[in-house]
Amino acid sequence: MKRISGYLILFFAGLVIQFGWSQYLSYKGLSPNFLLIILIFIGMFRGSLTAQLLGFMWGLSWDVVSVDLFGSHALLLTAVGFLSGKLNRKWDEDKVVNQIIITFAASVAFWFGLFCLYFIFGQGEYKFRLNSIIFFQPFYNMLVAPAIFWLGERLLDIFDVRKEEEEY
Amino acid sequence: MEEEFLSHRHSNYIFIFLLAVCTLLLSARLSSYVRGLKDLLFYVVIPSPQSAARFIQSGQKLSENLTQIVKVHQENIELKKTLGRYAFLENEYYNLKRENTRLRSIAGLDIPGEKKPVIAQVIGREPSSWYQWIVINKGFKDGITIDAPVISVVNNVPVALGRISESGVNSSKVVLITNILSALPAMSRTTNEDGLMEGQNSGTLKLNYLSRNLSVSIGDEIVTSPLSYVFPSGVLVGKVEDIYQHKDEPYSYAIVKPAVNLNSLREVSVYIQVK
Repeated sequence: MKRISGYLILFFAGLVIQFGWSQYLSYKGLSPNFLLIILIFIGMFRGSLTAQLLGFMWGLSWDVVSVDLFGSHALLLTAVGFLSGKLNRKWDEDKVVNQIIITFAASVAFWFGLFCLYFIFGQGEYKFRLNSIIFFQPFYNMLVAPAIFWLGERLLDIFDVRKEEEEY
Repeated sequence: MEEEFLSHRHSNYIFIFLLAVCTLLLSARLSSYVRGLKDLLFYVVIPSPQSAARFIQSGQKLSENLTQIVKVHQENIELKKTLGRYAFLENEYYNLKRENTRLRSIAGLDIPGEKKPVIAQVIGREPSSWYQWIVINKGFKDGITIDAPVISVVNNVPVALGRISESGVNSSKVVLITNILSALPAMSRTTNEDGLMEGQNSGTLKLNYLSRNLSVSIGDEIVTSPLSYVFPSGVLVGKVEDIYQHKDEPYSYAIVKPAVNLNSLREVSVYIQVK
């Protein structure tokens, strides 16, 4: 019960950060994809199951508030959560270089995935439009990632959640 | 080891299931069921970002209010200091006034009467005679008499505007200093040289009858002279913009820009005699 409450709080906190507060870190429409970074963090620290479930819920919420293809964000964030969870215990997640590399790769994969989904499922007005944000956001995410990882680790310490105890 | 393997499999099955759900949503996104689900989720999800935005906005308002409080506090300290200085000046003024009255009575000179300001609003102005006169909403019922000085305040400094030419019950007509009929004894604040300030029915004034040795220079402040019958001495009129001198004429004259902004007159003060 305690764990479910914690995940619910995390779920709503993610939404608040992404859709409520990220605008305050935006520059000319470019803002970091906090959900993606947090998801990678959770995947690397807690494993696939938590990350993919949170990814699905966040993605679905994103689809609900956006006008993009319904289900596209849910699918991509679920995949990001699952794949980052596969790196759990395999990569040294405390290394800043690793955090940067994985975030950059996931950001690029996210946009590429979105492009593929539009290519497959997009009809009529649903067309993928290239813009500068697509090119710059992976770099922005890459820069923000170490800060989020650092903060996440501190929060895990505060709530006394150990990396080892979790599932895969 | 076996448990770990099972957990991996468990996780993989859930992943496949979630992928299937997402693909289903993508394929059937236009169906009524999916739209209904989307609407339902919308009502669950949307309040949290909105509340967060409101929280941030209220935080910003709070910080703005705190900044305002600090500014007001600093302003209050400054104003208290200024008030203390003015209280001292007021005391000094009354002492000098009493001394002046006593000395004037010893010298056998007339003692000037007390004057008080009456604040009036400008209610009329004719575009065809913009620089000639204005109408205000106070008349003899308020104690306004003909030839009472009319003063405006610019940047907390009283400046000469005109004099009352006609006074009705509840309104009066003010002849502006820029009116061609207006002539006002004025002097340079720096040299005390007297001249006659004449209106020109335009945005400038002419300070006439200045001596040829040019003791007045461009940029000098011109104030009302003690010779003025209407205005108290030392009221700002304007600044010298230009000086003209003809070799055949015994006097030179200066063009003065009035200190009062004649295009934005709203409230004026009329100084009336206290009975």
